[in-house]
Amino acid sequence: MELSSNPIPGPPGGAGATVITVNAARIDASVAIQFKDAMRGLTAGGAGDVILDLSQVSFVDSSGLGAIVGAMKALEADRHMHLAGLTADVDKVFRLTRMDTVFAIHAHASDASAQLAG
Amino acid sequence: MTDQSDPIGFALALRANPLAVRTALADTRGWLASRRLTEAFCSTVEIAVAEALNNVVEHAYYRRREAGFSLVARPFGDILYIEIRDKGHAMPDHRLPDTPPPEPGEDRASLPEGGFGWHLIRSLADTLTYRREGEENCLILGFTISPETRLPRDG
Repeated sequence: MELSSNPIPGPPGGAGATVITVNAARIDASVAIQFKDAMRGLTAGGAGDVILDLSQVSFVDSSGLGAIVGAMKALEADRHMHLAGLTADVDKVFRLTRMDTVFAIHAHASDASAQLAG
Repeated sequence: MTDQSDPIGFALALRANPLAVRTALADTRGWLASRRLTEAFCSTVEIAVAEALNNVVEHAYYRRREAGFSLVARPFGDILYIEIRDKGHAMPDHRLPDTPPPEPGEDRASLPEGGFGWHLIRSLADTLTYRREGEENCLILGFTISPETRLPRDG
């Protein structure tokens, strides 16, 4: 599962944030475990919020949705996960399952990073 | 035996595994796109069919040697029917589950990471029937085709 990670410096003394971009068209049952493992690898032991950029993802099924929720639950309690760039089909899955209510959702990763940057 | 192919229908049969599900979804979506249906309609069908096929792979064939599934898409009147068959375990009590969808809740640790599949299928399909026929599961999803789900004709 191809993910790339890009740190956003925070305010002085603050933790900043990390933008993680999913470089894949689908997060589905065939890659859900790899996705969760890759997310853990990029976030474990870190600090600050995580902005998951899904703008290249055109399809998420319930396994992929579960893996995104699982990645969020694996974060330390003081770190939040933001979602950015939801495409139409991905947005539909989040809305129908009401999981859109448990994440901060931004139109673009740049909106979220501007909010969190120092 | 060759497929007596209905010019407006679509059929495929594959081994039941996650990569075959991807193939089936891509082929189904390609066929749907050729039917001049909106993206919103195509994605509704794709999400529901994805959950139904994942269910075949993960539950019907749980701890069984991998076997196949078939998918037939057929418009009839104003409804597009998608029929999915497999030879795996029957649904419990030969009925579709009707457990309520998982709740988002406030507490992060108790957020659901699964159990969304049937809720998505029920939310997206307009009709849903299941029956056990001998050693086979037969699930039929119906999606209503309306002027809103059709792309306008050119010119």
